[in-house]
Amino acid sequence: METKSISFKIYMDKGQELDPEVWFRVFNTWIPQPDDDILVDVADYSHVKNGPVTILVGHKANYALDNTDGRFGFQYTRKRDLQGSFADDLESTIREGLKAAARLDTDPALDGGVHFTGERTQVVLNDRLNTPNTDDTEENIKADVDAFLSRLYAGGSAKTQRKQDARQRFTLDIEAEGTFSPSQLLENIDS
Amino acid sequence: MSKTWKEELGDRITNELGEEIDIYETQMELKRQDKITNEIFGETRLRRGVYGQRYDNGQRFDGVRTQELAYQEGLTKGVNTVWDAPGMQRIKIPFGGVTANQLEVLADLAEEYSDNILHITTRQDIQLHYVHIEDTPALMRRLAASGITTREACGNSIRNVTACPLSGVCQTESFDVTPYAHALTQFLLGHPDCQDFGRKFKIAFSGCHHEACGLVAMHDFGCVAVLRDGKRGFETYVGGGLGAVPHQAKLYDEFLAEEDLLPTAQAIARVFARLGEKNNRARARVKFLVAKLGIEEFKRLIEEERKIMPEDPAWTAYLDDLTVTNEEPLVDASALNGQARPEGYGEWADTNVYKQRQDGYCVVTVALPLGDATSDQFRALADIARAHVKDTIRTTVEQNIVLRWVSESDLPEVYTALAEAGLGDPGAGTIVDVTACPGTDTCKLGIASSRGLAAELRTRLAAQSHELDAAIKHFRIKISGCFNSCGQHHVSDLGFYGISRKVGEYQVPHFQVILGGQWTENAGAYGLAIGAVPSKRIPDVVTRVTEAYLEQRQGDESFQAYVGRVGKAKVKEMLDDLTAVPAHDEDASYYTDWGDTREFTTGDMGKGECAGEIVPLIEVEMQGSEREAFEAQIHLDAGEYEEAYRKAFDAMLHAAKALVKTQYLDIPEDADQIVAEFRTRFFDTQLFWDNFAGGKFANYLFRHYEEKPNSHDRDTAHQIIEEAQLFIENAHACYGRMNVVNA
Ligand code: SF4
Repeated sequence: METKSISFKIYMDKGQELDPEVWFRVFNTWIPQPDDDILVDVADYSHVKNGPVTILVGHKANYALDNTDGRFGFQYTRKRDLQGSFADDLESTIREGLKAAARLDTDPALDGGVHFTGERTQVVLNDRLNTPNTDDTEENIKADVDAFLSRLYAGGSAKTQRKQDARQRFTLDIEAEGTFSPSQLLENIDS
Repeated sequence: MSKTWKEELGDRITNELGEEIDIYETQMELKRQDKITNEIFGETRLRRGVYGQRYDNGQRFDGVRTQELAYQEGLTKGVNTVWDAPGMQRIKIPFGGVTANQLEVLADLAEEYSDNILHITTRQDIQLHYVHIEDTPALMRRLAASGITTREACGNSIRNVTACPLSGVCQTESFDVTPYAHALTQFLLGHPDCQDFGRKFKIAFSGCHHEACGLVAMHDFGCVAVLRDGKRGFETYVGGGLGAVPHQAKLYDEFLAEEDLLPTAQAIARVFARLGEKNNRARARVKFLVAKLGIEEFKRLIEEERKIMPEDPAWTAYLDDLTVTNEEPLVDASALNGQARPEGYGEWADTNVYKQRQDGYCVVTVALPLGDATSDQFRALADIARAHVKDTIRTTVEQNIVLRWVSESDLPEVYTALAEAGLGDPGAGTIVDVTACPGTDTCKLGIASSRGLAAELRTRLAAQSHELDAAIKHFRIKISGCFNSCGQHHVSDLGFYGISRKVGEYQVPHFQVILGGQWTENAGAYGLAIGAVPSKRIPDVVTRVTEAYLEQRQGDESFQAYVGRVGKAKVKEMLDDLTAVPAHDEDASYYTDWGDTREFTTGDMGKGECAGEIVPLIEVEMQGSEREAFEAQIHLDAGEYEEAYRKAFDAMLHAAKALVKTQYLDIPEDADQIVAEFRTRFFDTQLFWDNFAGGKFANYLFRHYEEKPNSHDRDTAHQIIEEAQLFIENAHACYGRMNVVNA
């Protein structure tokens, strides 16, 4: 199973109240210091409701503060150059997403103004052609997802729930027991 | 092996559209192999709506210095345009009509190829930003399968044909213009006579004269529905346009019978293709051709052309069935009686609901902030449409969406559903509903942040909306990021366009304030610039001007009449203190733009691909001189002869300075020096001489510089305006000759 684009979102319980200008300022400082991407521009959409707030647009991925469904978090969308197996692509997307979240978590300009709740995350397969929102897709990726989540949450239990609206992209909401920061999750993947 | 959309969609795409996209894809491949030039590929993709976007030259100013973006070197998709750089996809929506199914497709595309945002433009198109060129063929195929083509969405072509979003349901229309807009769109799309224009060509339809919906006066070809003795026809206009030098369209025909509509449009296209300017893009719109030839001669040429055009059955075939675009309601009409009204409903219904001429039905306007909606919101709209109105959905030139044929009794439910989707904002068509072009957010030509300013004004005005006096509530505010007018600032009550001013070592974002424009009467009058104000003080401009109007207006005096009575000079004086810019170390906030945190620069401006294309300094200056000539004309119309004279002279001086600048960049703003330098460099050398008229045009400048009239009257003002126009024309020609010499 191949998919051309994957999003990973890690929810936050602190940060939503920040002025969008703060995100703009922070992302703007990232552009000259990319981490394995070409960072291009910052887009402000704080005027729309329940959608992207501020997006750092990159060549390989987009990095967004996002409030879709009224749930605030940081979303990393890998949009180009996924070329491995589904398991590899899933892992690399989540790893890069967590690295970016960890960078936000420790960004001095945010000064502790954010808090991630890594026990609540979301994976979206952003490719309706190859990975539609169907039972078949779920079946096909189940083993890879379960294996990866087991590593991500260090063997702890993690429940997944698929969005049922057939028009939506294949979306898994993930909820694990415990509390996890982005850096803890990164450590879990690597241990 | 992953699947492709081409295989997946198969015969759901018509052969014609499929082949066109195949050809485009082949051209992409040829470009990858460097077998076609940047220029050719650039025009190819533009004609498919694939547009450049800011920073696609691979550079971005980060607030301190311009950074190189580390794209893979080599491959480009246009002149100085990096292949991998994200771009914009414009999607044509003829007369703004979309179906629920199409909304869903558009939502999917925004998620998969863009940034989850769909943007409605001031010409009823939809735009997706940050799209990679490699994704465009799949995107086009998915659109094609839903019945949408991006063909000729940009480039030197017939652009989206627009029409009133109320056509067919409007209380004041003569008849529904939708089938005509549809027929003209189909007829001209890809038509061989429309493939060799020097610039774009815009068409609009309106159902009546007095409302604003169609804005025909600012279009290359505008059609207002008229009934004469029960027969349908159009009052037609040609040569309108905004841009740096706005032109009101000229009346072409008081009554063009419906059967003559398509052949006349075709004849205009042929004459424009043949006689329109091709080398100087700044003079290549129809408005310049009409101005050059005069409307009578232009009309004569069109009539001659019509006589020699081969007869085409398509000219009238569509008239056999004008019901193709007819709509039907989903729900029977019933009145809103005792239903519970949700909180917020009253305020929303006051501004966002229009009673159709069909009893019991309404048009609901979904107000989109800055014209933006998310993919989920588009899907929610599709759901609401299916539940209440079928496919009767249109985009508007005010960057909103309307749902037509809502039964009155459904209104509370529709409001609730919209509010749940975050689409229940009131204020459609009011001062809160600010229109803005993309500006510096994504446009390569943007100078100042039109969207940043629009967002700020919207937030402030929405907070005051309960207290706003009825006299200003329906003001229109329109903002462009530069003089190219995509935000339609000329036809607003309060218009602004972005400019930059140097203060010490720094550049400071400013907006020119435009007053006196008229939105109604199909964009009945254009406003004029009264002065530049720093971007950060524009909200104060809005407050001050609206307050002064409320205090000083006489009776029911309109804002345009008020500005006319007190005079622009007085209004300008009122704003004088707002023009001051504190030193950088006193208040650095002036040196950043709205919605941006970087120190302001114009260094990110690139070479445009549409509105302005190439904007070298001389052209910017030249456009300034043309604007002054235009303003002189307005003074003349107002009987202000001395002012008209002064403006026309300034216009000549400005054009002379523009030319001098090509050789002597730092020429001071001093008339004596400009005239002296111009004489030495352009007159004595005969560079400015016309083949036939010799030094005649230069002498206009010298004469008016040397002797000013003792008194001013209509004739002297009129004469100098004509001379100024000829002088400017010759300056353009001289610049063209210089280019040829330099090439
Ligand atoms: S060309 Fe100017 S007016 Fe048009 S979209 Fe760009 S910034 Fe706005």
